[in-house]
Order: sequence, then C-alpha cells, then structure tokens
Amino acid sequence: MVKYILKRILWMIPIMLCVAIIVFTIMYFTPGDPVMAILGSSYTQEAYEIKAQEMGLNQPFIAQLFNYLKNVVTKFDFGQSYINNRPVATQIIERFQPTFIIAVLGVLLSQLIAIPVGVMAATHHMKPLDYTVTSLCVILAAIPGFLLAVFLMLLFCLKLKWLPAAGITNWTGYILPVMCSVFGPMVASCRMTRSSMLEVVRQDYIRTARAKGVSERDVIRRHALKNALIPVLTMLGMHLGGAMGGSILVETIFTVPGLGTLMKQAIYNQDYPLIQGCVIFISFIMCMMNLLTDLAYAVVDPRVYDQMSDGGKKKRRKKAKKNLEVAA
Amino acid sequence: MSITEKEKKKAPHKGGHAHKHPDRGARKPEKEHKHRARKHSQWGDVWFRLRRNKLAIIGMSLALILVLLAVFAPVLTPYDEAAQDIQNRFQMPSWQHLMGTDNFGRDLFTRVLYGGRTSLLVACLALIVSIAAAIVLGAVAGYYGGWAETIIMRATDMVQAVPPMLFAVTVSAALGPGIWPTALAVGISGVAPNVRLLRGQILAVRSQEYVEAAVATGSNGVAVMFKQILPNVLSPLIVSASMGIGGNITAISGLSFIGLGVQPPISEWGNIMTNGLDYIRQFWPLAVFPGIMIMLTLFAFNCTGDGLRDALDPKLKQ
Repeated sequence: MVKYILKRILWMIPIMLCVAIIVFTIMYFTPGDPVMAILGSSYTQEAYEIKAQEMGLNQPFIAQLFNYLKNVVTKFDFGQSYINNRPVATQIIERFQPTFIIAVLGVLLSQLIAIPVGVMAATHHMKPLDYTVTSLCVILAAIPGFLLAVFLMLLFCLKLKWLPAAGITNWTGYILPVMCSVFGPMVASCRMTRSSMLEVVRQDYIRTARAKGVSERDVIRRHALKNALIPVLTMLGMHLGGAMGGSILVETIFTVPGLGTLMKQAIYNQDYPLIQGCVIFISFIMCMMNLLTDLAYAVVDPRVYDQMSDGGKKKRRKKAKKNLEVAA
Repeated sequence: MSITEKEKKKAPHKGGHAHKHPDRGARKPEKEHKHRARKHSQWGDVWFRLRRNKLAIIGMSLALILVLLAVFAPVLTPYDEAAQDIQNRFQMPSWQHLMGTDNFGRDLFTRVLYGGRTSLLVACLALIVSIAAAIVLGAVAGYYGGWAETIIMRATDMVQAVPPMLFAVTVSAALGPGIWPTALAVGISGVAPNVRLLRGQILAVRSQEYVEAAVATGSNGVAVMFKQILPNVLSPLIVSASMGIGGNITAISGLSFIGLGVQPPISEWGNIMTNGLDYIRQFWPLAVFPGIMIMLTLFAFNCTGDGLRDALDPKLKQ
C-alpha cells in the first residue's frame, strides 16, 4: 500500500512539472511585450534594457523556463505581478479561500443531493420518479454555471431582494455562488449514479444477496450502492477542478474576491506571471484532489487497488506459480 | 464493380451483420450479403432507432431550427446588426423589436440571431480543430503504438491535469480575441479527451480480423487507417462531436463573457450577455435572451448526442 501511495505521489511530480512547462511556454510565446506594458508608451532604449535585465527577460527561453521552475519548486515563488509588483504566491493565497470554500461546498452538496436522487431514480427504474429525474437532468444539463448565476442573480438579488448581489460580506454572499457550482456536478453525478446503479443491480451478487434474504434496503445500501459509487466518486477531483476553473465566470458575476476574479483581472492587465501562477496552482489542487479520491478508494476497495498497482498482479502471478508447483 | 466499392464491401461497417459471418469470403454468401445490406444498413438501423427516441427527435429539430436561424439571419430580420438608434434604447420586447433593443438602440433579436451565427460557427470550427487533431494523434497512438503512443498519452495526462475551462482561458489569453483564436483555444482544450477516446477505440478495432486481412493483402498503413479502422470507430466519435458542440458553445460564450473570445462589435451570445450584465439592474432582456438561446442550443445538442449514443450503441441502453 505504501508503495502504491508513494508511486502515485511520485507520478504527480512530472505531471505538475509538465503543466508548469506547458503553461509557461504558452505564456512565453504570447504576443505582447511585458516590458513595454510596464514602462508605458514613452521610454528610452536604455530604460527598456535595464528593465528587461531586471526581470530576466533578456535571457533565452530555456534559461527563463529553468529559473521559473527552480523558483516555483524550491521557494514556492511564482514570480511577481507585472502590475503591482507583489509576489504572485501571496496574492494567490490571499484570494484562495473564497474560491476553495465555494468549490468544495458546491461539490460536496452536489454529491449529497445527487447520490440519493440517483439511487432513487435507479430503484424506481421506468417509473414516473425515474422519468422526472432523468428529464430534469436533461434540462439542467443545458444550463451552464454562469447562465445559472445570471438567472439566480436576477431572481434572488434584483427581483426578490433576498440576497446581496455582489461581494462577500457575510455568509449570505456565499449562497448563490455555491448554488451555481452545485448544479453541474449534481447533474453529472446523478446520471452516473443512476446508470451505474442500474448496472450493478443486474449483477449476480445482488441476486445472491436477495436470495439469502437480505432486506431490500440493505441490498441497495450495502451491496449495490457501495459498488455503484466507484465511478461516481472517482469523478470528485474532476468536479472540483471544474468548479475552480468555472469560478472565473461565477466569481465575476457575483464579484467574489477569489482566484477567479484575480485571474480575470490578470488577463485584463496581461499580467502573465499571475495567470501562470493561478493556472498552475488550481491544477495542483485538482491533482491533489484526484490523488486523494483515488487513494481513498484504493484503501476502501481492494479491487481498485489491484487494478491500479502492479503489486496485486505480481502477487497473484506468484500465487498461481506456487499452486502450479504444488500441483506438479 | 469498381475497386472502391469492393473495398467498402470488405469493411463490415457497411453490411449490418457482416461480423456474424467471419468465414465469409467465398463468392456465394456475398450475394446474400448484398441483399441484406440493402435491406437494412447500419445507418438505416441507426435512423430507425433514432426515430423512436422522441427526445432525440426534439433535440435534432431544435438544432436544425437554430442552425437555420443562424444561416438565414439576414433574411429573417429587417434590421442591421450594427444599426444604432440611440433614441430607442432599452425598449422592452414588442412586435417591432421581438426582444427589445440594447444600450445603443440596436435590435436585440437581430443581434441574438447574428450572435448565434458567430457562436455556432466558432463552435463548429473548434470542433473541427479538436476532432482533426484527435484523429491524427489518436491514430498514431492507437495504431502505431511504440514511443509515439507513450509520448502522446503522457501529454494528454498532462493537459488533462489542467481544468478544461482554465486551459481554454490560458490559450485564449495567449492567442488574443477573435473568431479563429477562440476556435483554436476551445478546440485545443478539447483535444485530449478525444485522443483518449479514439485511441481506446482504435486499439479495440486494430486486432480485429478484417484489419489483419487488410494488412495481409498488402494495404499500407494509411489505407488501413482510413478504410478499415476509422469507419469502425466513427460512432463514438459522432457522439462525442454532437456533445462537443454544446460544450464548445458553453466554453466560447464563457470566454466572451469574461472579455476574451469574440469581442464586440461582432455579436456573440457570451458578449451580449456581458453587456447585459452591466445593465442588469435596469434592463433584464439583454442578459436573459442570449442566455436562453445558449440553453436551447445546449439542450438541442445534448439531446441529439444522447439519442445518437443510444441509437449507435443499442447494447448500452436496456
């Protein structure tokens, strides 16, 4: 087990490095000169060169990339913002909290709603309840988060005036952004729970469980749901990543002081180090979450562990060999 | 019979039940097969199943209507997309202005129709980019394998570590605004999942006997790829494409919404909505109508995709 965890963590290192390289490369080849952006329209050639030297922009691409990676890895230093000269890492940490709260709360709530509803739809397969759930899913799947944000804002903030339309002053400010990040994962998980339950319910071990007289509730809860949840929960990391990626839209609408608005501002200002930092940071969080869900599942479910590590295969092969020898 | 026709007959995607006759090869059953193939081809079967799926038919009709609205936008509205009429700004919907007028007095219905043109065009361009790239990369990875496969698959791992929307935002920020850059940004961010999908499918098809037969009779790699393998991995690709249009529309309007993507004066649903958000307190139609159009489009293409998936793979739905 330890070996498997270590392997997974080690595999994350090249992935994150490559993400950093990809993002850095994209930003490097972006047209537009950051030195010119900082100095404005009137500057001398000398001032330009001094500034470029200071920012390390006169070095070749490989050297810049290497420096950037070195600083990120060793000092958690994503460079400085072009606009206000503050370290990117500090700005990210300042703005991280609301985005994280909204994403995590949204995804958790979505699962809390989606899984029971999905199970109910599956247990009432081909009945009105099932049809209601599936058609609701079809309709809700057609509403992207930012559209929902606009509609919710119109309804709750401007028509009913129940909730604040902008900013987060107290907990009421979180309600609408969280609602927006609930819907997407909710629809996806609900559909997935339903179809995966329908598949599991047909398995032989469910028939066995029923045959030996386990109550229907226990069959669903203990035998079916446990197995049906694997594909649903492995998507958690992705949902979280999606919620954090989508935050750029939702936060803009509700003017939440989070990573999304930070990024939007950075894009507007062409502040490349800041954009780079945000993208790498959010990807890192998503990778961590993926890792955690996978690990949690490997701990709980021996089959997943077997699938993902060679250890199980080797052991089985050894066992088979031994059996053969014994038989011989 | 021409050579191409013979080739087509060899590939089982044409004849509905060809895979049930693996020992077919003599001349005699060919005749019988020809007869059957005409009676119900694979696409005939698909259309038959699709027709019975009400939701898919609704989705497809809606998609068709939306496309027609976009194509015939100049005929359908008497107004000019950019004609300003400052005296009549913020008019509520009426018979004269079906959706009202915006902050410059431009007819909103006209702008939404033209916006649909842009959105659908960019979505299709992005789709072409991502599918074309995915076919090339997926084919190389799935068919040739080796170190190329390792590199391509690891690269998709890396790209998929970035949330797709963020990736699109990054690329779009790098390429700048406009129709082509946006299509490229959205297209590129959609390549990785399609590559994985295609590689998996190609791997499954590659070991089939008819591919082996084609290789044994001396077809070269490219011919095998395009004549034997691709037609047989087409169905998941079609489903992914019809779902992809909806996803692309969301991504494009999202990008335009935060000021990347397609920018005014070209109207696009996302940027009309941004504009609407600025005036949301005084005038709701400006944000709501393009939003409704995005919803309808997503609904149409999602339903079409769902229906196609069920129709193309009857094993899945039971």
